[in-house]
This record gives sequence, structure tokens and C-alpha cells, in this order.
Amino acid sequence: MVKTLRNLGKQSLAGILVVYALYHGIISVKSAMHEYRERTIPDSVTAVEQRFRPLALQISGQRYRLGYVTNMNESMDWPGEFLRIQYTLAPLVIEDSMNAPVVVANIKDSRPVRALIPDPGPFTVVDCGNGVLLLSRKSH
Amino acid sequence: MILRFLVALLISFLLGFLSTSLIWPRSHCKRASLTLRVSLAFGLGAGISSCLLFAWLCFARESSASFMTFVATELFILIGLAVLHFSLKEPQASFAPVVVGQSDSCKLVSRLLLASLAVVTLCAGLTFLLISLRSPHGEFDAVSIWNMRARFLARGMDHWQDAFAESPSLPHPDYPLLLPSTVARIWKYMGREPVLVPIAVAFLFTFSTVAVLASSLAFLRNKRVGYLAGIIILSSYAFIAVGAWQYADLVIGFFMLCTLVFLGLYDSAAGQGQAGYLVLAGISAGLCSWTKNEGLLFVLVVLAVRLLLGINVKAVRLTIREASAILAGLLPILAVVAFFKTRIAPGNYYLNIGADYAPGPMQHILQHFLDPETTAHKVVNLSRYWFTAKAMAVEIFRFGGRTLGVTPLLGLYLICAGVKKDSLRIVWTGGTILAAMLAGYFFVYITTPFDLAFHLESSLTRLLLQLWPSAIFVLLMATSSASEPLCL
Repeated sequence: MVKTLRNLGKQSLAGILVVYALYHGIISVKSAMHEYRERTIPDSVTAVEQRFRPLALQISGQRYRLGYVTNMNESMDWPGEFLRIQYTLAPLVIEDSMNAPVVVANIKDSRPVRALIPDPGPFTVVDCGNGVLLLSRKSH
Repeated sequence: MILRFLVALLISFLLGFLSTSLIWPRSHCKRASLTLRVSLAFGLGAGISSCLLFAWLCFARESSASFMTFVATELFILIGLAVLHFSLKEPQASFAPVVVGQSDSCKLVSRLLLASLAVVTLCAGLTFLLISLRSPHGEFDAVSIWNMRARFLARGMDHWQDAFAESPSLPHPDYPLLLPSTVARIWKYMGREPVLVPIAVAFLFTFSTVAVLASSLAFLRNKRVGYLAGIIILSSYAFIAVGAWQYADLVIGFFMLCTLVFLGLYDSAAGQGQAGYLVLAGISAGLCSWTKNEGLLFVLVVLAVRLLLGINVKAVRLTIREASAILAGLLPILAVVAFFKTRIAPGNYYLNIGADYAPGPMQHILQHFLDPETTAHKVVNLSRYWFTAKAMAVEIFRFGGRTLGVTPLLGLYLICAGVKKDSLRIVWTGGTILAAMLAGYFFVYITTPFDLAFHLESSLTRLLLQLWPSAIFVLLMATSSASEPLCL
């Protein structure tokens, strides 16, 4: 008797597990579909790759460490953007510093370069477009 | 381009399939185990290929042309394995799953379960696809760790080791390379870097886990138990999502499951000549440590549990023989991991963080989450134990579901079904390994250098996911019996 009841309970629970899985399967698709519709186009990594492609072409084949400067703050996802730029420019290594001979500038500002950097000091500035600048030390 | 992609995948798959088949005990009904060996093939093959690529990067002076030497090496090994495989004659089976005629109601149950599995698999596939289309490069860890390293390995030429420089832009430089080198290898075969590759690798590992779980239970118990296992694991949104995010947690979960499956196969097979399963268990455990640092804990736990439980019930000599078989599979992979850890990678930041140390590579992200309390204070702070235990219990209770997790249902299932007599060994082995891993994770949280709440919030679900496929395997092995093949 006990064995039959336990067996019945086990099979009922197996049935409940199947129904549970079917319900969650459908809910998962709905949730993923909703997130897909709400997505930003292009996604954050592809957007950085598109912005930095001209710069990546300029420095391809080099192997020095790059410096990095930006006017973004932490509320603008500074760290995430920094890692996405490293991902884009690999295998070059980026340092969060202006001391390197070549520095990547990531400027979120629509003003022209001359207005942003009226005096580039020891750097030669190459504008790669979309707020991406390549600053090379004149001595480099 | 697609052809090169398929060739790279096929070589990995064949490497895994042939090496598994060669080590598989030859008396152990090879035809019946075909589905299981096919399910294992991609993962184990990717693990072997990744070790080969790493060795080639370390010891060959790379140039763009010389990648052909790597391809030639892989093909040479593949041909060698194929020749060995076909030259060894398959003996008569001494073990085969029990085949019993099914009643009509059993057939109906089988068909219903199979249909449900098909629907749940379709839903999981769609969910995976939608998440991958939304974030084709993967989520944060994939971009900042796994695919980032893959790009260095694929593009770096003779300075690929820059990937392990201590820089704020390169988090976790000590993480092992199974996943990055698997992706980099296929990119190098293709000569390009499409996002399809990490997506495909993540997809194959995610669904190989499901296939290994279902086919191992179908082989060791019966098809219905295998179908039910597949249905249960696919019901968890987190399982599919973390797979589609291209994280390594599902990859390590795959190798943990493989290890327990091989130990289960060994324990289920009566008689001599089954040491091949232990060698395969050793390889799988080794590949855990080549995937993530948690794998090193897993290796220690597996060895300790097998030794302790073995000495308890068997002669010391037999236990040592079993441990030697596991080590035969484990040591070559551990040698690769040891070389990487001692010669290439910098130290682990967990071990380096002190009161005045900002955690280098992650300083900009993690500096706000550092906990200034010393480790000694944390160990004696009982409130941390309570907080961690509560968080773990809540997460386990909710695991896999939206409101109610699947674990309470599985608990009830275990109570109703009870533990079968012929499952005691795998329950002891698997249960103790999983409990020890949970205990290990618990103490990592107790001593974490980060704010405890932040660390639990950011990693607990993923750590539990690593153990999830193995937990379902142990539970369904425990509640079903090979000697009662008609029961669910």
C-alpha cells in the first residue's frame, strides 16, 4: 500500500515537473522576446567597434601600450566602455593613463576637435571621427 | 569560411569521440553507449584541442603561415586515433542495459515525455537564439574576460602573452584558457573572427550538457528518466541565459557532470577492466581546472572523496589502483594548468588583495565593493555565516523558477521515490562531492575580500549553475533503479 502510494506520488510529481518545465519554457521565450524587442541597435559592443574601427586600422600591427583619456564619468558607464574599447583594440593593451607615447581619446562631445583641444601641447592629434582621437607624442 | 568553421568543429568532435571510445572499457556494450559518447564528444574534444593550441602557442614560434603546423599536428593525432580505433576489434558485450518489453501505458508515457522534451528543447533553443541576437558578443564577463582572451590568442601572433599583463583593462588574467582557446582555435582555422564562433561554442556546450545528462541516465537507468532529466534542466531560464551570455560557468558545469557520469558508470559496472571510466573521469576533472579556478577545488574534492569513501568500503590496494587510474587522466591536463599558472599567468587577485591594495585589473569597477575587514575577523564573524547560509538557501529554493523554484518539487520527488539500493554508491560519491563543493563556495564567500552582499549578488546563481547538471544527475540516479527499468 505504502509502496503504491509512493509510486503514485512519484509519478504525479514527474507529471508536475513536466508541466512546470513547459510553462517555464514558454515564459522564457516570451521574456527573451520582450528583451530582444527592447534591445539597443547596435548593441553596446558593436557600437564601440564601429566607432573605433578607423582608429584600429591606423594602429594595426603596432604593439606598444596605449594610453587612454575620456571625458566620461562613472555614471556614463566609464569602466564598461573602457573594457569594450580594450576588447575592440586587442591585442594592444590599454592603460588608463596619459603617460604612454600614443593615447586614445574617447570624447563624448559633439564639438569640433579644435574647440575641444585648442592646445594639444606635446601631442599630434589625429581625428578618427565620432569622438575618437589618436594623440601621438611629437617625440614618438 | 563556413567550411573551415565546420572542419574546425569536426576535428574537435572526432578528437573527443575517438579518444573517448578508445579509453571506454571495451567490454562495456559500446553500441548501446553510442549516444552518450556522441554527446560527450564535442566537449571533451574542445578540451583536448584547447590544450594542444596552448602547447603550440607556448612552444612554437608563431607566424601567420605556421598555423598550418598546428593543423597538421591535430590531423596527425586524429589519424593516429582513428587507426587505433579501427584496428582494435570490438569484443562481445559483457554488460548491456536491461531491455524489457514495455506495456502500452509505458509506451504512452515515453511518447509524452519525448514530446514534452521536444517542446522544451525548442523553447530553450529559441530563448538562446534571442539572447544571442540581443548580445552577440556575450555579456560583461564574456567581453571582458573570455572573448577578450580569445582575441589576444587569435590576433596576438608572437606577443599573445600580453593578454596576461596586469592592466586595468584586462580583468582576471589568471583565469584558465579552455574557453578562450577553443574560440581562438576556430577563429584561426577560419582566418576571421565572426561572432558566430563564440555563440556556436556556447550553444554546443549548453546543449551538450543536456545531451550528456539525458543520454547518461538513459544508458544507466532508462529512456524515460533520461527524458525527464532533459526536461528538468531545460526548464531553468538561468541555465539557458548564462549559456547564451557565453560565460564559462556552464562549460565547467559540463565537465563536472562528465566526471560524475564516468564515476557513476564505473560504480555501476560490475567486474574488472572498467578502469577506462576512471581515466575519463580524471580527464574531465582536469578539464574543469582548465576552464575556471573553481575546477582546482573540484579536482581536490573528487580525489579526496574517492579516496575516503574507497578506503571505507574497499581494500586499500584497490582504492590506490582506482586513484592511479584517475590520476592517469588528470595529470597531463594538470601539467598544462600548472605550466599556465606558474609561467604565464600572474597571481590570483583574491590572494593579493590586502588592506592597502586596490585589485589592479578591476580597480575601477570593484574599488567601491572592497571590504576592509581582515580575513581573520571575517572567519570569526558569525553574522557572515548566517548571511551567506541564508542567501544560499534562498537561492537554492528559488533556483530555476520565476516565483517557485524547481528544487522544492525535486525535494518532494526524492521523498516520494526514496533512494534505491543499487544507487547508494553514486549517491554517496556524487552527493559528497556536491556537498563539498557547496561548502568550498561557502567558505570563499566567508573570506571574500569584497563586500559580501555584492559578491553573493554577482556570482551565487552562476556558482550554483555549475553544480546544477550534476545535482540533477545524482538525484535521478538515486531515485531510479537499473533493476526496475519500467519505473520512471
